[in-house]
Amino acid sequence: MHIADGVLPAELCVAAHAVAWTGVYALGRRLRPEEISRMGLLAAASFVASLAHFPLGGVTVHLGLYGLIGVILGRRGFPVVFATLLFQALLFQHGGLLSLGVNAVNMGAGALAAWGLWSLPGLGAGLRAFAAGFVGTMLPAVLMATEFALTGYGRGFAVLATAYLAAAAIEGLVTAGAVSFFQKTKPEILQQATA
Amino acid sequence: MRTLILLLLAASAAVAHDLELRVQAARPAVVVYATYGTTEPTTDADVSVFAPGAPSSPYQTGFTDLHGAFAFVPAEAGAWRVVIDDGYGHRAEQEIAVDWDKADEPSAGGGRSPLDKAILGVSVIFGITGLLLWRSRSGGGAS
Repeated sequence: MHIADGVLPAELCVAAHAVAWTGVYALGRRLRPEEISRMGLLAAASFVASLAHFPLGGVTVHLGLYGLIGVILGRRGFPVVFATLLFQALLFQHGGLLSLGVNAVNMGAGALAAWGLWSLPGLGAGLRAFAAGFVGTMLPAVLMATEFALTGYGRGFAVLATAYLAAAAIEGLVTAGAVSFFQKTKPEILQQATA
Repeated sequence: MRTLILLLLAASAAVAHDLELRVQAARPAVVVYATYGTTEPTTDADVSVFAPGAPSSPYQTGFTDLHGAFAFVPAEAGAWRVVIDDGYGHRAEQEIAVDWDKADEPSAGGGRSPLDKAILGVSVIFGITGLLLWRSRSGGGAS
C-alpha cells in the first residue's frame, strides 16, 4: 500500500505533500504532555507492526494499526501516521520521500475515518472498534487504487485493493481485540482521543 | 614432427576456448563470470539459471555482459545451477551452493540488518517523544 517514488505524477505528490504538512500542523499543534507519550508509543507500535509482512492474495500486506491509532489518538493520529511513514521510508524504503505526502494523506485519512467511526454513538464498542480497524486499512487501499486509476494506470489496482479486504478484516479483529483489552485493563485510554 | 606441432597448436586453441565459469557471492546476488580460458570475457552468451528442485524450468534467463558477467538474486537457499552457452559450441554449467535466502539479504538502505533498523527507528521515535515531552513541560506546550 506504500506508493514508491516515481510512480505517481510529481504534481500530485507535491500537492499531497502540501496537504499532508498542513494536516500535520493543523492536527498536531498544541500537544499536551499526556498526548505526546501516547503518540510516541503508538508511532513505535505502528512502525514495528508494519515490519511484519505476510503474503495475502497475491500481494504482501502488513499491519499498520491505523484504526487503533485513530481510536486512541483521535485527530492526533494524522501526525503520528505521517511520522511513522517517514521512518519507514527513511529506514526501509517502504514508500518514497516524494510520495510520502500521498501515503500520509491516504493512511492518515484511514486513521481519521477510524476515529470518526469509533466516535459514533449507539453501537457496541466491539463493533465500532472492528469497523474502525477495517476502514482504517480499507480506506487507504481504496484511495491508493483511485489515485492509480486517475493517473492512468487503469482499474487493475481496484482489483489489487480488494486483496486488502482480508487485511482490513484482520486489522479490524486486531483493533477490536486491543480495544477489548484496554477496556478491561485501562479503559481511560479509550476516552482520551483528542477531538 | 610437423603433425605433433599441429596437434599441439590445436590443443592450445581448444584450451584457449574452454568456457570457464567463476562465481562470486555478492549478497544478495550471485555473480557469474564466463571467460574463454582465464582472461577473455565470454560476451553476449545465453545464460539460464535453475532454482533448487526445478532442473527443467529456468528460474531466470539472460545474457552475459561485456565483461562476461551475469548476476541473479537467489530466492532461496540451496543448490542453484547456471548454464552458459555462447551459441558457438561452447557451453559450461556450474552448481552453486547458496546458503542465504531473501529473508536475510541486506537491503538497499545500507549494511544494517532489518532488526538494527527497527531498533534504530523505535529509538528515534522514543527520543523525539522524550524531546517533545521535555519541551512541553519546560516551555508550556509543544507545537
